[in-house]
Amino acid sequence: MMLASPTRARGTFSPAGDPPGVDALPWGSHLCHFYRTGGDLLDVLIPFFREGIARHEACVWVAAPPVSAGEARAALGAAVADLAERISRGQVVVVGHQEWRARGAGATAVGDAPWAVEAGRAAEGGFRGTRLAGNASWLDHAAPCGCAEHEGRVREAFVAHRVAGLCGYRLDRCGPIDALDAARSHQATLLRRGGRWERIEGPSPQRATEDLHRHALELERRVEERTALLEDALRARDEFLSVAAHELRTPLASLKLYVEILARAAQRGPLDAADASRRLERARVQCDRLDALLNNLLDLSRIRSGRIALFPEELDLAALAGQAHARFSDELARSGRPFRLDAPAPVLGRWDLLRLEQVFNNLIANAVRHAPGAAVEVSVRARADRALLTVRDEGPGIAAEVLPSLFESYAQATPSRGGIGLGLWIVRRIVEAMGGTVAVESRPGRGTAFTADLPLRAGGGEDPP
Amino acid sequence: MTGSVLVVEDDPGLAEALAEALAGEGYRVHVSPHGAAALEWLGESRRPDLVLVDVMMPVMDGPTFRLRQLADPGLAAIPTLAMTAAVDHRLFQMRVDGWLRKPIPLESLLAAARRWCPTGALPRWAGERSVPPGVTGRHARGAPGPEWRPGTPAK
Repeated sequence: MMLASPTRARGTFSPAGDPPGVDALPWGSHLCHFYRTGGDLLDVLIPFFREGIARHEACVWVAAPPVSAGEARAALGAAVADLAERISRGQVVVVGHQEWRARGAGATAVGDAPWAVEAGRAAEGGFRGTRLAGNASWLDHAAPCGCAEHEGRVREAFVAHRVAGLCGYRLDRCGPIDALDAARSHQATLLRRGGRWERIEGPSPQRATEDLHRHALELERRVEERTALLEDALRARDEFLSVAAHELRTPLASLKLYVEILARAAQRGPLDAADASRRLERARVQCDRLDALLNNLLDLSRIRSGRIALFPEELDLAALAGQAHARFSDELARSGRPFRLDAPAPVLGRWDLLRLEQVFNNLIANAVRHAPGAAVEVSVRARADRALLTVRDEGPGIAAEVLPSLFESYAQATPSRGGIGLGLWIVRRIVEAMGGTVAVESRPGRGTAFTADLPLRAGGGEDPP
Repeated sequence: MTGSVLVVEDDPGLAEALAEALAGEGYRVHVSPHGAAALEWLGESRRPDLVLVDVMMPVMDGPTFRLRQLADPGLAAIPTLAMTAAVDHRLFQMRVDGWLRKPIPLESLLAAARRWCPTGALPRWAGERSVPPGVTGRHARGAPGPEWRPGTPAK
């Protein structure tokens, strides 16, 4: 529902300030106003279009005497600094009424009417809607009557579009009946009397009720849409929380077992130093797992709320691969899994150390989890000005239909088995922040290979600290 | 001679901790990362005293493993306990001898091993209760004690 805003003290055009209610116009609005001079006309149309331009709406001004298209452009240019640029981008169109009428001459369907064509163009251009104004109504009809009927039709058509229109009527050219008809056939009439603006609402309660009903329906539809989105997001988050809790509990359960084993052994007598240190080392590995999981969880909100800050330094990717291999080799060796490292030559470049470690960790942990018992290989290669980092496993492979959603965050992933669905998503975000790409190649029964393709100088010095 | 336990668990950390706990008590332990690997190992005429099997695993999950095990006359009789965090329909489909609720307390794990490994050490709880603490199930062997009833999850 449109409420007239109080006149604001911007009044470079008029001592009375801006006409009421031209700032935020609901789509489908159809207003009119009466003017005597070109100055009166500009007092209404300049604020009308200035507000539209500020709201990222397309603006179409159909100029007619007493203000020509050239004068209209000059007046609007004085109020909107970058008007020329906006005209060239297609946000603002100022057109003479004769050209406008010529454009509409062949139109039979409402969709071919010039205003509907402009509205379509604005939608394609990404504008929020279209504001139209013209003062040629008195010229459009040989006898300035019958306009009520015409405007009524326009009004009906407007309702279906993201269009708001403002019609201007020249007081000295329309008779009292015409004025009454104009006021009757528009939603509201803007009038300036005694230096003050007045907004006279249209006289049809039925129409006002219809408008209200329409707005209410639209609002309801939007609320339903948003609510459904929010409910989906909430459901996904609930699911994620329960999965994440389960994932945190697994290393915690192992950790607890080691503590209990040590406590039990201690109760029996002095601990064997070698046994104790082996068990403590395995407990530490579980602490590292918990730490990595929590880091990924924290990254979820960090990455979602902005870009990843990178701190590049001179590194050897092959050496990093070696360290990552060493971190996991004990775990894989104990379960008897072949774990190869293939990084024969140094691959030098500028990267963020911690983020690359995270990429290695997440990819290897992913292979450990989803290819149980299978061989894993980490390899690093330089190719021209790129570095290729690959983690390959000989596990069961991934079904083709799952591949496209593999790098999406928990909301989209459908983990058939464990994992919080963040590891690969984080890998992708990190690699992309470094200017690289990550790809997966997998065939059921034949294993899976994840490859990060990184530029040698990733995310130079322009990244914020 | 001590008893032997087959642990079928895909999480290497947990599998290792379970193996460590059992080995520390003198049991011989073999770990398989999923049902298919466990069947392969069992297929070589190995007959552990007890199988501990996870429910959700990649490659071959617990229920599928159990189905194949029960279908094989040579394997069907091996006492089998499920390890699970949730007591749900999948668990009941498995027709196991009992289950251990994750996270598994060391005491429950060792009590289960003592109960089902006849060649292991004499169970300390023998004569006190017919079912070890923390082990429950429809197919629990021995007369149900006062603290046991079908479907009661482990404390």
